[in-house]
Amino acid sequence: MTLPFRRRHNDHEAPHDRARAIVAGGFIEPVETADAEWLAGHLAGCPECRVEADLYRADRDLLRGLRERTPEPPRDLWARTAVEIERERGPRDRSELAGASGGPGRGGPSRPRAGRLPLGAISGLLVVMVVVGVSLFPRGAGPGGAPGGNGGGTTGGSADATPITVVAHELAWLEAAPDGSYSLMQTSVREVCPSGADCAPLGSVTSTRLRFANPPQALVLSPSRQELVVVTSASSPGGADVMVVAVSALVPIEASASPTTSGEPISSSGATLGASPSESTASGTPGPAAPGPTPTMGSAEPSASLEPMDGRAIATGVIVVGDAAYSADGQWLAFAARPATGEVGPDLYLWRVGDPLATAVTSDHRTFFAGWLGNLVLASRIEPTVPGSSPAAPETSGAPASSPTGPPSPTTAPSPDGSPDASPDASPEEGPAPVEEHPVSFLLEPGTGAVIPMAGTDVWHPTVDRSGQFVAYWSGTLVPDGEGTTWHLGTGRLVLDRWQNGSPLPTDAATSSSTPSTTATPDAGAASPAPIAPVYGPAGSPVTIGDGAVPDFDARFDPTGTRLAIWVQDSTDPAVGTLRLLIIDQLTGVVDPSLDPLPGVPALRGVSIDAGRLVWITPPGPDGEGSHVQVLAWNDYDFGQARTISGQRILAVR
Amino acid sequence: MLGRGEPTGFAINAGALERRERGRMTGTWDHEAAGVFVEELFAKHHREIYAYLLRMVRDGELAADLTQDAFVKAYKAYDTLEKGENARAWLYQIAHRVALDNIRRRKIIRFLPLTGESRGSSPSAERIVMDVQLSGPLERAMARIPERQRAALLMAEVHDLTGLELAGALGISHIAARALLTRARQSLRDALAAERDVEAAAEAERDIQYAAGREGRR
Repeated sequence: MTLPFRRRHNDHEAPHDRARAIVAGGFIEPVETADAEWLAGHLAGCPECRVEADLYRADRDLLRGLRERTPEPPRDLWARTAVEIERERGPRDRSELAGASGGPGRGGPSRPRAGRLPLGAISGLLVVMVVVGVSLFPRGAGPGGAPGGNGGGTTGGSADATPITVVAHELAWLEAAPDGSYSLMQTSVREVCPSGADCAPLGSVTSTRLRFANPPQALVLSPSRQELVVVTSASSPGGADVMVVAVSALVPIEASASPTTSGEPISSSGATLGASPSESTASGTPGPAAPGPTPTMGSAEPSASLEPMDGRAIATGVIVVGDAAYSADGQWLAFAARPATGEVGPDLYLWRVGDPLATAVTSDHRTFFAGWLGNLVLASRIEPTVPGSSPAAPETSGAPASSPTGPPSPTTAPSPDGSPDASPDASPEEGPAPVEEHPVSFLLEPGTGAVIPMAGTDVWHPTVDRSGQFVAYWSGTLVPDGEGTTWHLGTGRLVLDRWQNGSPLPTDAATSSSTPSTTATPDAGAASPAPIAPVYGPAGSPVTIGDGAVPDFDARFDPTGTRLAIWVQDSTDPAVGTLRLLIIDQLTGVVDPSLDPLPGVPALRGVSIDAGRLVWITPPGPDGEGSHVQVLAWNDYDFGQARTISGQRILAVR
Repeated sequence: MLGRGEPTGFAINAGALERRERGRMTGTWDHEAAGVFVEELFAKHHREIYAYLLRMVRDGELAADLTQDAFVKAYKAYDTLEKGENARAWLYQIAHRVALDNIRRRKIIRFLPLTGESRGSSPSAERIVMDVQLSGPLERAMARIPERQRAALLMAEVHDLTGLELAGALGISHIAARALLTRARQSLRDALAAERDVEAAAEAERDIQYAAGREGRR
């Protein structure tokens, strides 16, 4: 699909653009007669274009002057190269080399398709794929770490489709083996196809064997790539754990890893992932494993002995609600969680890297983590419906006791077992009446606890792009369930708006002095005048990007802020939804309806978007067909897709 | 002056080609044929590949490493080259990917500036010469424009790749390559203008300092 990214905003510019294109193109190829004639006519009547053409030529002459200044390569360059080639000759056979090379060919007849796994070898696998979306390992740690990287996981040069070259996108996912161990798989996508079905399936190029005490529900990699946060399944006895693991312990063993063309890992290491016995409070921590790493180069067999990991539980006995995510500087992890016992709703938890435990910083049991804006937490709170009252700001653990809703708890740090405080004074209102409640959103500086109010009414779960241009959120109400511990979307719509930063963003502890923030309880809602005019929030010109039935949603921007992935949950199955990619015009701030590269595909909850690519997991098919990790990637001109081989019972990261 | 190799591309040793084809037919990897193939490629093109990579990454040592890496990749992937006459563009495609990968990685890791100016050790004489070569207004302007555009300009104007070769090396369509090149020319012009502004400002600053110095000496 070819997309006109560089749209013309002024039609009268078109002839000049054409003139530029013809002049520029004429430097490398002969100009067709018709074009030459048109150009001559245009230049005759356009003095500016003549000047521009002359400047083009002058620049070109300048550039071609570089030919006269040829740099001399090092004299030992061939000797060094020959040594490296000699190393490559080793035990490799042809297929190994092709699988590891990621060569540039466009699919010679003999080029194997990456990921051509024997189906029999994978049919027994319980596959739990967790899209991390970024490289899990330090660059250069594995076989692909050498300059130029690898490409073993690229879509092979399928003869069926002309691949679209994209900037390499590294992906990772988790596969579970029948014995309960897992393989953390990593690959790099460099080519995609106009139609995903035409591309060879993606295969993994590295893997790391892991053992979990409980099935994982989500994985989050820290920006420093030093830590991996594992959220275990909430359905486990005693609730979920949030665990932090040192990534260095997961780096695959390098050296003699032999690449394969079957999509099997070309290198691997093994480790047991569980809380350290001295620190863990999680139940069901696996027993001690045999010491020593057990490389299983390309083997599909589970490793019998895995090295114990340095995992640490920072929260236990909880149900994590929504995402867990790191701040931009990687110093904080935030998530919302409620007790596994289920008596109260969620609170906001923060964990400072290095601390022993995550701390609940709210105690209202109605606060949800929405994301980060740089190093500020974005969170939403549902206001209890009290006739005649106005919404209030959240109670934070660091806040002085002055709140319209009553004094905050002196501390909301979790009990030693990691379960959140369940103080009865903040219990939700009782009664099953389907009352619609109003959300307020706010920012919170994690270091000081300073709360910064956010403009706008009924702003729920705002997602702001990294550049701070746009915000996507639910503009509407929420409806509590009968017990008041969970809520679903009520009346409203999913919208996109410009984000306003009224003053320089606070980033450090100086936040409270540099911005109109408060550690008390600012009125973040618009139902009553705010004591301090809020400077952050939607600009007030929302554009609907999803209305009708929206049971739940997940909105994520790419780093440029011009690609917005919107996942909307189906009304019948909370795990499945419809995914779209919206293209936002940076100038106008509206969704461009003419660019619809992903008009709506079924996807499991938990998508991942980064520069140049969107990743999701397809739902299982009706006849036992497995799911895939699906990638939509783009360059300046085209979109294309690729996907992995199918796996069963796929769970997505949140 | 950088040569283009041969006008129609590159004709590798016929024996090596035959062995390569035989290997493709039989599905075997012929180390010797691959070695001969890459050795010939290297002899013919390593200077231009090194020059291209140097202008992409602006670091002589790194460019040498990447050149080595490009030829090792060519060795490993030699059986994916379908036509010997396309070898030059194919090699540029490898080098281009190697360069982009490296640039992207450094952007992510952020431990090595693109100019390579803080790699630790004191600069060698060769390095100083190299820096002088890479420090002109044109080189600085080239460093300002996006990598893909820079690559397109270098390949088309300095290394003389044709439109089709350029498309192949960049891994995009012919039309897209032309469009990219047009944008690159515009970007270069803007960057050159910016460089001239910077130079003018620096010159004005020098004049002010010079005048202030004279005033002080009085």
